[in-house]
Amino acid sequence: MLLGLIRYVKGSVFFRAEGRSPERFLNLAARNGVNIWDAQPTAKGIEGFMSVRDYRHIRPLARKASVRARILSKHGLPFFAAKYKPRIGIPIGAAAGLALLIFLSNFIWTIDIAGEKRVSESALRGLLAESGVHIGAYKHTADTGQARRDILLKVDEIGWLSVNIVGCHATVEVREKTEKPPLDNTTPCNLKANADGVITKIIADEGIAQVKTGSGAAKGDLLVSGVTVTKNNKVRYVRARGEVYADVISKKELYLPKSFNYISLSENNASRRRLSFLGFELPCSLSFRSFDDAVYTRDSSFLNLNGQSLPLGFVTETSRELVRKPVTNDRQKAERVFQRELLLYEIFEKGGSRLTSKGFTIDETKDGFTCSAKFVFNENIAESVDFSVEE
Amino acid sequence: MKNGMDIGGAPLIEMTGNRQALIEGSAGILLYESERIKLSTGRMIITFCGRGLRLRCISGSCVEIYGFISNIEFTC
Repeated sequence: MLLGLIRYVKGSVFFRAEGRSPERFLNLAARNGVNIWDAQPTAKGIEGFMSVRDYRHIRPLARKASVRARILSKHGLPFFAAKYKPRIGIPIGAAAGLALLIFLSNFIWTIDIAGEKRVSESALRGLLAESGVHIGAYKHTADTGQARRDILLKVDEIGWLSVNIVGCHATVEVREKTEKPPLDNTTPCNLKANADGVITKIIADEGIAQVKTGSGAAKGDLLVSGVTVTKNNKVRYVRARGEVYADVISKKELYLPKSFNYISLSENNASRRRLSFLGFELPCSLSFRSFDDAVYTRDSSFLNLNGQSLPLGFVTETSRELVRKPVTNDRQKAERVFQRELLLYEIFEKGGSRLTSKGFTIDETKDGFTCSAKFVFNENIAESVDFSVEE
Repeated sequence: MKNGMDIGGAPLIEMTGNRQALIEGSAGILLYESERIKLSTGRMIITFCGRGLRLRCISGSCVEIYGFISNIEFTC
């Protein structure tokens, strides 16, 4: 193998020596330090291999042995290089390609994060980048140990983390901490009202109800007591559990100006495309349009090879013009807006409550409209409040 | 003189089965054919007979024969 490689680098010729005494030629060659290998007899002489350098010196030996030597084929790097000598660009390109390959293999090309469930992958990528492990980072200076320590300190949810760089690929393995099971709280507690209201329904699973249906309750009033009395007239402290429903009045104030500037996207936009490679971006398109007021969107599409996203692709940044349009509101329009807002309030802020009644009034002022809404929601007002027991 | 025999200057022949023979102390090749190779060692002539015989490597005093060797003759 090694010998073959040396012979390839030095270059060899396959020759034929024909004449009166090919054996003498072999002997003369051996005595003069000419190395011949794989020599085989033919009908009129011999064939074999020798190095290019030796072939240049065999003329006198051949003459002495009365044989005529000629080259049948040429092998090895010198001949290969000579063949492509007129095309000098090919070896230069090959050398440049090799140099580029060696240079680019010093950078991190891809980062693969595995094992995360609760922690966001993009957040982890951001933290890794802060610690110097990012796509395009010089891998020999990327301190994976420091990145690991930084992330473990910053993210509580992570229990174990490893950052490994193999070749140009960084692998991050994450093991998240196991969530603590909810502890069974046995501390005695009362149920107290968290809002003013009129009691409509009492479900006391544990403890003694202190209010009756139809009675009013102010915020902070005791609804279900955690202090119970046993049959032997002994005091027993329990953790009161239950639900106390009451009609609760809820007020909401809304305001809508008579005139304001409505900001919307116009049809005008300007896109700029950039070639992104290892974090570096090179503009690919020109756009001289600019807007005073605009929003920007960034869209990336990277080359994907065998399921791995490579750091080579296009980034398109689009700026869309924002236009301010003056809008005036009349009473009818304001009423529609207020109704919509109140409906959203019912659905999203009071989602767990049942609406009993609803009413609103709209007042017009000099600058705008105000809406005063009054709701009655039937909702659970019981709230656990722990108390300490001293012997 | 040792035990009545003088072996100084005798060729050294190393064989691997009958497929390969390495001869040290060769003074020259006298005949090279695919069925017969004749080597001179100064004091005697060694003839290798067989099929597909080839000289794999030839250097100053060393010859490597490769092929199916069926017979070796020594002529003094």
